[in-house]
Amino acid sequence: MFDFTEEELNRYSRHILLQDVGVEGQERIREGKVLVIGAGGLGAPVAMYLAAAGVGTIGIVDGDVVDLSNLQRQIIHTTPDVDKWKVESAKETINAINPHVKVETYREFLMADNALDIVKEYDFVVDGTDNFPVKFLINDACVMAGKPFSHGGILRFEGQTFTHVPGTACYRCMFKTPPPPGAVPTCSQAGVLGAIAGMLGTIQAAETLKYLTGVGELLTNKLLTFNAKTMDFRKINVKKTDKCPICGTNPTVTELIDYEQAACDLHQ
Amino acid sequence: MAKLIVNGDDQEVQLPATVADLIKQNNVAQPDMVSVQVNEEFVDREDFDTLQLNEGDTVDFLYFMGGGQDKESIEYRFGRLGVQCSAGRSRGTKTNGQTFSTKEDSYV
Repeated sequence: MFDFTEEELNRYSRHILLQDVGVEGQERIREGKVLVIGAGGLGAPVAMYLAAAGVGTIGIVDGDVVDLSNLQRQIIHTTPDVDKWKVESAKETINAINPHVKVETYREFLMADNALDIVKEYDFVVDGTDNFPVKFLINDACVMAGKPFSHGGILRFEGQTFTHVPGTACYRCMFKTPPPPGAVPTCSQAGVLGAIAGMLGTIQAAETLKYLTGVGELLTNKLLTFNAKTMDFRKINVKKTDKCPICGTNPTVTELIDYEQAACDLHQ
Repeated sequence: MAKLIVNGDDQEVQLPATVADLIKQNNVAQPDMVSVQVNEEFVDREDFDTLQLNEGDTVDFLYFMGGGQDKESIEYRFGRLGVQCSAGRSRGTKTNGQTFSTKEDSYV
């Protein structure tokens, strides 16, 4: 009943051996369409593990090119990829890992005017971005489109993530509006330990695979935070709130917004 | 002294104390940016100064966490030189790919 080839059965054998996954679970993974927004520190491990896992279609959104300073953590790109479009570099790596995966590339940044059109094509969305305007945009677009997504953020030695499925707490339940431009370090040299991106990205990849296969309990209504300096992990229970500006009873956010972000121009 | 559970750890706190007091006592770096839950319910920012904490309350501070950042040396140096960051980004120029190589918008 499942038309896996010998090659595929061999490739995915360690999944298929898992009682919770099996051939049925692997088929769900193969049928899955996952959108990874940002081919950077988080998007890299997410896309690579999803490719290796055999997700049927992976969409990647990124309008940037690979820079030498990316390679400390964005392991989907390698030294010869510097100056290539990130989506092209990512696609090459994905295809090298697993030629069965269909890769859709979006060489652009997610904006209010393209977000819903892109998101609606997918079963699950992964936020691999580093900036708050897009994090809120992903949240809003997914809530509006009724799409589940994995949120991820990292800074220095810390990370946080949660999974949203319709009806559970969203980003705005926790943080109503984006911080003012420049208020929170993404516009300064805060830095991040490269492996932290891997730690958080692989959690996001695992959540994606759990969603596709229906295995286990997702990080819904829970914010998982960790500090790699102490390796303390903590799950904070969070609730969907009626006062939420987008998923509450009287939503004030009714359309997608392109929030401004500090651009650090030389305005004096 | 009353015992509260703050970010999962026991903490002795002199009551009466409001959410704002607890934020101060915990040296929260950016009090304007923190989200606060008391007993797993989010507290409106305008109630921080008035909401009194009680013995045994569970309080969680939630922080914005964006990303690892690529806005490397230029902005860093500008910041050190006291040059102000200004609002407004040039993310909309989708057709000119090369503008994006300036790290303005790099994803994590």
